[in-house]
Amino acid sequence: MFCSNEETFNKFKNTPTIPYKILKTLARNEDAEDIFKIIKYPTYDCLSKPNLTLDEKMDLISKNNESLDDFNIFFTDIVNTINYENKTILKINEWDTIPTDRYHATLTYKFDILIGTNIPTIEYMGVPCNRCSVLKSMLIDNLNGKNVDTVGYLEFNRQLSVSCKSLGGVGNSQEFTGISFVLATNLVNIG
Amino acid sequence: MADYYKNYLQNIAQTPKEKYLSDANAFIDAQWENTYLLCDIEEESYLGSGIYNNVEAIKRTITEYSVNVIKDESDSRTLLFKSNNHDVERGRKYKFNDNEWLVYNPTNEEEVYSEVFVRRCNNHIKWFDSELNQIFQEPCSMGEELGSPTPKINKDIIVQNGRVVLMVQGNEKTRRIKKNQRFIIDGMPYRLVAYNNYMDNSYIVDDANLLWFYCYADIEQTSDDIENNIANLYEYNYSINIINNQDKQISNYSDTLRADIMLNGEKTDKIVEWESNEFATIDNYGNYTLTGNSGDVAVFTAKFGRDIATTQVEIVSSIDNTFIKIEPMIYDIKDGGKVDIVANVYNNDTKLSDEVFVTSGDTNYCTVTSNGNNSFTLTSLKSKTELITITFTNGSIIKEIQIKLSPLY
Repeated sequence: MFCSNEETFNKFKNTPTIPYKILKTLARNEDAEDIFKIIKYPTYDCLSKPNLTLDEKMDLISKNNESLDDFNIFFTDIVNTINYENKTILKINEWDTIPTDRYHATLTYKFDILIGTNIPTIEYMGVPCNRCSVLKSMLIDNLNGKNVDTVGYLEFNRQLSVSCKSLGGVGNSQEFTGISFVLATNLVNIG
Repeated sequence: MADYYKNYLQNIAQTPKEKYLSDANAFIDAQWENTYLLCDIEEESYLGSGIYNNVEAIKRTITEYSVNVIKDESDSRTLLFKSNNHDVERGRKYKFNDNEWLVYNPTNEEEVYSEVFVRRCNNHIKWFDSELNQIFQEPCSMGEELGSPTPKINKDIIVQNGRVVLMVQGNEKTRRIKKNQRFIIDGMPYRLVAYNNYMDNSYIVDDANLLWFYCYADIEQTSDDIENNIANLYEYNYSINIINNQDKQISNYSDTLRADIMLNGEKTDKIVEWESNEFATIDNYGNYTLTGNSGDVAVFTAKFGRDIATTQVEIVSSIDNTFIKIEPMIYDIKDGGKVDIVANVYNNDTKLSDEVFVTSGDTNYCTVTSNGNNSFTLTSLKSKTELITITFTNGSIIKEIQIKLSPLY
């Protein structure tokens, strides 16, 4: 039996920084260089291109800019004025929050990978592969089991949240298509 | 005889085109004074110069040049020049009748005379260029196309569903204007929704000399300076922070000043222009040398747009100059990043072998690791809004620097 006071309730004030921490985990990880190459270079041989510098990676991220065509990574799911034709887009945003009890909550984050109609294929492991599939597999590999300053890890784990899954066919069937997936993490932040 | 004829053909004879143009110009010359429409006007020396020269012209009125604009015959004029070689491009400005005028119909080679059509600039636009930190103003010819008078309904208030068309000169300033730029014209906000900038002057000069801005009525924002008609002015607060490690030094001393341009409290990568008074010299990179004598005060000014900041160094005859020098000098570290530095004690230009100790003001955010020989690695663990103080000590000599632990983006 716990006393009912302020310190024994979960706190959510740091949760808005989790997408930033996700991106920091990717940007500072040498194993995630290919992720940014796929996002930046709209070519079949994008994985053969040179690694991006930290500044080049950060330049892909939109930060309240009026013209969205210069960016590829967004922290919102509404990107309706962009020209998708030769672009790879990654959207990261908070999906749902399930408070299991007053100390614990499960947070999920949705990743949308969208590509235009002209760049569906890249060379990966020596064969032509779908760009979205490759990017999805790299993102999950580099984030599954990673600590983003919450309790436990970011997980692609349906036991942690039923929202965890990957879904294809995300697009408008004309200009862009893609894959979305959801990762989950636990939050216990008392005191 | 043959030489005489050859000379005649080369230097005196005219082609039919030359003869015709020459005769036409001679006629204009002869009749030039024979009109009450002759007047002196001011002509922009070249497009965008802002420098005006006096020129004579025959000024006449013409009817309006397009439909769906407020018709006022005094807003349109034609200017005829004396020489048929007086070429004027579209977009050049004139001043007369206490107004500024824009050329929308330039001279052309098919006409035997040089004549342009000009439109009066009936207003002006002012805007704040957030990249250059400058307020610009440009005269414009403003017409209004009113479609349906039905108000446009949005979530907050109802605004007029009208489009305003602005015609402005295409120059260095106006070509920087982007879509969604807002203007406040006589207290009424407008948003630039689209513009026509593709009527190039020629295939050689492929910039458009005349721009048409299509603006819609917009709602006021808290960052607008309504009184001075400058939209979004208060959204951008620039300031300049000069880092000067010396307050007193001897003559001929050289060092480097650094200036950070802050926008709304965040450091930007913009650079300042440096100036100094007569007691020092300074280059574009902030490298200065004190040239004055003992007792003089060298004053340095950093400028960016409409903001300036100053700092000074007093020139003294001698100085006990033992200090800690940090190389390279660091001012920010990105989240998760590391920087290697060396900190040594100097007496004037002589490096001493004294040991330097370094501590971080908050080890939860930034750690310091000693690598020996006064070499250190600073590591940013996470970003922080406030600056972190790093302290370097050697006995009684203390040097503190403040660094920003900035986020990755």
